[in-house]
Amino acid sequence: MSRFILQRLLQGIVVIIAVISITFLIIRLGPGSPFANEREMPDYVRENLDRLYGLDQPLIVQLGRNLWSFITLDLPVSYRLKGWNVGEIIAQGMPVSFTVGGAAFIIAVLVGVPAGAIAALRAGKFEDRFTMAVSTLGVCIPSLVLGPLFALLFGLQLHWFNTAGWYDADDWVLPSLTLGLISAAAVARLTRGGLRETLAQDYIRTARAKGVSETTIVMRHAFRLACLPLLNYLGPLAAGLLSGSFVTETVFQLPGLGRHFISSALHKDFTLAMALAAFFATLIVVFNLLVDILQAYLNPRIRLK
Amino acid sequence: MLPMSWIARLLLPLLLLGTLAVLHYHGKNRPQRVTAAATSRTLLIGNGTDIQSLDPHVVTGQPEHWVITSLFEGLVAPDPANPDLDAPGLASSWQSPDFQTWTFELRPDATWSDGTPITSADYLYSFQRILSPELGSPYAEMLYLLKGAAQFHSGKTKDFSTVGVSTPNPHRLILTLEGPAPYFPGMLKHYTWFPVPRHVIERFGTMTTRDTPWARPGHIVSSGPFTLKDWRINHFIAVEKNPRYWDAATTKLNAIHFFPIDNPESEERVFLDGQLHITYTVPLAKIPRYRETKPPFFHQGPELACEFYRLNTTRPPFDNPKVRQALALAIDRVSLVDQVIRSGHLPATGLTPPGAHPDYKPLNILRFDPSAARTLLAEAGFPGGKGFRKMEILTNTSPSARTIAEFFQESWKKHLGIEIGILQQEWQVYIDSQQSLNYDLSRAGWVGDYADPFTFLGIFRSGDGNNNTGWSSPRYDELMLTATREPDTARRIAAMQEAEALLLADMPIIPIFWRMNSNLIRPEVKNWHHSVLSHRPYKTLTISP
Repeated sequence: MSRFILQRLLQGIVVIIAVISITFLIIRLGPGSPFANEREMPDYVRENLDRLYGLDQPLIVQLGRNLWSFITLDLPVSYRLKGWNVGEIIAQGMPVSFTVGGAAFIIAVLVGVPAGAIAALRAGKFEDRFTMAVSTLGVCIPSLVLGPLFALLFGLQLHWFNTAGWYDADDWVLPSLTLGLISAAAVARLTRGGLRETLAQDYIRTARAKGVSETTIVMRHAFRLACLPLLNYLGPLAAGLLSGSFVTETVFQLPGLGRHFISSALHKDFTLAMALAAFFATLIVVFNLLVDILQAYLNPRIRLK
Repeated sequence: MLPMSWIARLLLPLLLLGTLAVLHYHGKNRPQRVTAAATSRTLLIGNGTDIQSLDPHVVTGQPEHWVITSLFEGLVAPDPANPDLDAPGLASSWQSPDFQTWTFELRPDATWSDGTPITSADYLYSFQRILSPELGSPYAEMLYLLKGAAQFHSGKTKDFSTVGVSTPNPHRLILTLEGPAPYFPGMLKHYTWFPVPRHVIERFGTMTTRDTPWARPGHIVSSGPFTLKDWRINHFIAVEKNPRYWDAATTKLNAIHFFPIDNPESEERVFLDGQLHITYTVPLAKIPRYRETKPPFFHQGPELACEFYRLNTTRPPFDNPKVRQALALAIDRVSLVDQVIRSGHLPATGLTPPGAHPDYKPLNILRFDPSAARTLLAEAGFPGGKGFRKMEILTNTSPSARTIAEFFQESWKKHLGIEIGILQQEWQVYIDSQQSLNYDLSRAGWVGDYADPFTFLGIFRSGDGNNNTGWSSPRYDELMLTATREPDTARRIAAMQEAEALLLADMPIIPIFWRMNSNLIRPEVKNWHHSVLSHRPYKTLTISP
């Protein structure tokens, strides 16, 4: 077990370094410069800046320098937010994204799993059709639509919450609901699929034949196995939600990480883009590892080597 | 008695209803943020995108301008009653016998917010800092009016004493310009001319070290009516009254909070929800309705800004002036502005917008004449658009830029029979394509930096970094030189008008409209005055409770 974890962590480090390098190359090889400005600066000023930041060096040297600064955790400064180090920028946005994303994740699970389970247990009946119709809608509606709808209804009309902003203790509610309900739709569909498949297995029929109560069958026997496909989805989902969402953060004006993902790429602020990519890759690696461990625990047929 | 499961089934909806009722009661009694802010005399302002820095020497944008001018002040300040006029700032008075040598008397009582006196040495230091090529300031050209500044900035000389700045004593500053410039005091309201605190900057590095944290909360000291209290990235910037400001007795507000809200729809919702006093902008799609219904909080005012298209004159067929003129004549600006954009912009009849100078009458040259356009195009060798090569209009990705490009596309197809595509590029890429002349036609905009037509006309001189059309004309350059050297206002204005007429006859650009600025302002904000140059005298603003 510990050997497996160590192995996966080492693999994770390689993945993170690869992600940082690819992010750097994609942004640096594309057109545009971090110093481009509507007012053109004289060539000698541009050359000066390039020299100062080492952008006049061969690409491989630049990549090496940047990687080294990440490996030694001597994080570089952002090109756009002058005077801020990329670590500080992430540290400021992280609590917000973690709060909103964490709450969204809990909502997704608390709403999605029971809804999917009810649909699976009442397959073909009204409850099933209703839940699946709503979840299909949830999968289709983008947060770009649901977010402003929530803001208009619960903010501007009913005044239950602030329409946007990050000031009051309850400001996480609308963005987390937006993100959580949309993710809950996918969770419900996966839960339903997994549970229905498991309930049709031989060992469930055996259990039923032995007269085990339906509650025990579902809760103890079926659910453990039915969770496996869901878990595979929940790992990346958690990483995605915790690292912030561009759309939701823009609609609700949250000072999280999601907006930096887009703006750093658009402004060619490649140090910040690399840091964010590394951060996201770390989350993915960690959650995937957690999922693997959980799966081994839930399914005795999986052995971690 | 009811079984347990029934009790549970009953309790659940009751609990749900109870929660909703509590939420609703709580919501109805939720105080608006603006109400609490009015009591503490805090102004809440939407400020567009997050700012890049508070160091006045390394930034260029409008959001930066609005925060920096609350913290810092220059020699000259905007007049509170009409911000486009000049009032004394850190200089109590100034005079110039010839508009070329300017003597400023500095206030002996002016200090930085930590109590350190502001002296003429601070200006000398600041001008040298922004003009040092090692700092790489993107806006240093604003100071090229100073004698010898361009030579120093380009590294031709390392000796700053060759630049026209002298400090005979700690409270007197003499600036010598390249030529007479009557509009010079107005230019000094721009943040590139503001002094920066040497004693704080050098605590973190040398004069030209970039990316030090001197301009962050806890370190920065300022010279204006407010000081920086807090700055959270993408969240807010809070400034509070500076008790050491020389005119602190005038400052009415206790604090200002700037919110970086880059999505206009979100910003409007936040405003209507009572969380902002002043918005940065208004969603484009909502402006026509606000213009009709005229709610008291809707404000519009002209901006010293022109939207235009650049034509790449280094590429055929745009090396032929007739083609350029034909394209310009085929555009019906009035229809575009009144029926398509509907935001109240003014159809441009020239390049320099009204309000750039009291004596400069905007030129009335541009017109819509499709038949003349067809004739010109035929004379250029493309009768009915035949043989015109395929090309694209380069724009950035904003939806309004796309709408305008589609109007041009349609007009040229209809009136001239030529097919032109649209190419949208992300901002940094679009800027890069334009500056490397890697385009045929490109959308562009220019916002004036100071109240003089030169701020618009200057960029089309040969080789100017912002020309970006490949166009050059010796006569135009000569007239522009006159504009920088001529002491007589009437003759100077005449030279600039002749230059603009020449530019529009040769048409390396197609001006489209003069921009109108829209925003939402709550009625309790008092002493707000519109400025074509976006100056805001924050110190006299008040909020009536």
